[in-house]
Amino acid sequence: MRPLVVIVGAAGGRGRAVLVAACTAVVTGFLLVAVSMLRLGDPYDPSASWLPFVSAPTGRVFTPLYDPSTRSGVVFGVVLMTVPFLALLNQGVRLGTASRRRRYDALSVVGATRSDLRRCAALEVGAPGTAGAVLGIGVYWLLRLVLGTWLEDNTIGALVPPHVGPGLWTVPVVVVVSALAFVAGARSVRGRGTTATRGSARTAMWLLVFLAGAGLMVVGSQGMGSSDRQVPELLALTFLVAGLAGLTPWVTARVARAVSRRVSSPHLLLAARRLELDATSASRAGLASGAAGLALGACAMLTSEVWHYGPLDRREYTDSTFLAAGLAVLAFLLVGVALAVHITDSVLAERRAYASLSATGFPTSSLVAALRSEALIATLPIAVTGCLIGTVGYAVVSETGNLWVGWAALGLAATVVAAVASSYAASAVLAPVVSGAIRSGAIRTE
Amino acid sequence: MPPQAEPVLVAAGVHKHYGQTRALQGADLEVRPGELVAVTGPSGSGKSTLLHCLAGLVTPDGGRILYEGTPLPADSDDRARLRRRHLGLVLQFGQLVPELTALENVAIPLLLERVDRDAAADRARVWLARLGVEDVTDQRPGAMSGGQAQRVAIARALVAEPRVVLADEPTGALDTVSGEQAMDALVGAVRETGAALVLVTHDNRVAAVAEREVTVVDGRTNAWASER
Repeated sequence: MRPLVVIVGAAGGRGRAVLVAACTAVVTGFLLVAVSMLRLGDPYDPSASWLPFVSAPTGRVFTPLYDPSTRSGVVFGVVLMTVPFLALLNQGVRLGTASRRRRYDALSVVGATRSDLRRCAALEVGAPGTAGAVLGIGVYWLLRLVLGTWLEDNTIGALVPPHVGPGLWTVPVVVVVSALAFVAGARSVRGRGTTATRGSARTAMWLLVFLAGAGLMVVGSQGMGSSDRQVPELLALTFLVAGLAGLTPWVTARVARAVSRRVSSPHLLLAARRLELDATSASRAGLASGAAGLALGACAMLTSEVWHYGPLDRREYTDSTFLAAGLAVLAFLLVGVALAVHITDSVLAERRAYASLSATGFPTSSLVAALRSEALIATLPIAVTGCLIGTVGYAVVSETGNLWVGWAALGLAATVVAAVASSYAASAVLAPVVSGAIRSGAIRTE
Repeated sequence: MPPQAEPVLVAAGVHKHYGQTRALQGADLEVRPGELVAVTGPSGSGKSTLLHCLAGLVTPDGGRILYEGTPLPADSDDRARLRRRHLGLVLQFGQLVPELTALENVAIPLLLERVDRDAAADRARVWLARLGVEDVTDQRPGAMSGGQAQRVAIARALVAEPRVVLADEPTGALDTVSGEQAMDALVGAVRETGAALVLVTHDNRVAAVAEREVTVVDGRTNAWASER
């Protein structure tokens, strides 16, 4: 017979394991891309490079990847690209929370300790996570082939260094991601997320981090040369993103409360109340829309700046910027899928209540509309905030210091459209499952 | 109650199969305005399926369901609309939306009918008070006792003042005292509004409140439905 920890670990289901492995593979792939970029170092001063230096190909300095002034932004963008997949991974880890809790409660009854349960949970996520991290090397290799080797010879230029790795340096990344998967699994034994409340110590802390980032950005942009400013700018951006990430549950809960107090539409009321009660889970997925919004805002401003400088080398920057913007829009759709996973899971956990609501005359289409609104409330405010940070942040740190309203508006409009599309993607994914789950079979007497 | 009034809800020769299982095999039931009918029978006899057919939740494989002489609509949204306007539904347990307060749960059918938010809240408050659960108005179901939650669910079923209330084992998940309180509340509210009540139960004490009892055995309603 298999060991208990394996039996319980496997009870999570194949679908959950595949989702965890797939997300971990993509996250690992992106992280390996970021590390490979860092290995390019400073072509003008190789001794200043953090990692063993790999030089850029001749004649390729003026591309976002090889240009030292834009590369740190590209690395930051690649790391941001992991956020939607981390959000999906987070939902994967939480998938089936209700049945898992019942399973662990049953184990507790027969004497399993908390550490026993943590071991089971760690294995449930850690095993597929490790498999995914190893597969991530393949994802990196694929990204290097498609976005490196194939793009190197055309006008866009490589977005992934085609001549770096994979090598032994990939091993620490794989090990770290695998370890994090085990930790995430063990932590999933803890209780359901709670609504962030106004004035909580944690919210105040994240607000301070956010404000520190904003302050650092303003101070860092004053009186420094362009190369000296890179570190404070990236630090400021990191603070802003971390602050926004920490504040996301609070913002989502506040927006949901404001909506619930004003609406008379039953589906909006239901959407807002669901978010108010558990803003944390949805906002984790919504957070990724902030990262994607930030990328869209920054892309809009980068394009406007390139346009400002005239046609020289324009395409080498704009083509890759448009590609990055396209990836950000795809990230929004991924956020929609992550939200769909979370929302479906939460409805299934209360399927009897929703089946009863449907039985009393609440149409399934209204329920789907409510869940779509929930996805929109969880994404739109954060996405718009992210876009504004990307737009204003770029304007503050850019050489010209100008903010082109037309491009900024375009970035904002694209963000809003992408967030709405993301909510429709969520409802398209969840509608068949939810409709099936709340059929009358769920209200039969027991 | 006029005994010879035209039936408001009719099941005529209803058949329903789930795979190889024959849940209903020609069940008949007529519900007249304002009457209290108990549908009893052993576990698995098909009484809940009959109620679900009457509510339009389940489409019969054969026979007809008529509301006020007209077949139930084929479209599921139209059936949902009919339910929230004319057919109140009370189930065994777990019926309230956990994220909504008692007030919001009760107001939902009115909001779906585009009743103004304040007016809907006022009517919901009235019904919560009628059922003696006004003290849980702003609480979510998780904070209520089983009996309180059931009375809130009854308020939700009655807030639109339906012509027929369909109750499926409404006290099945409650202790004796809470069950009696919930039944008293349900019967009292139904009598007050003049609605008919179809009560599916296997509990003889619960069935005793009805004026007429119909027994379902092996998917068939008996021919000797008793008048009390």
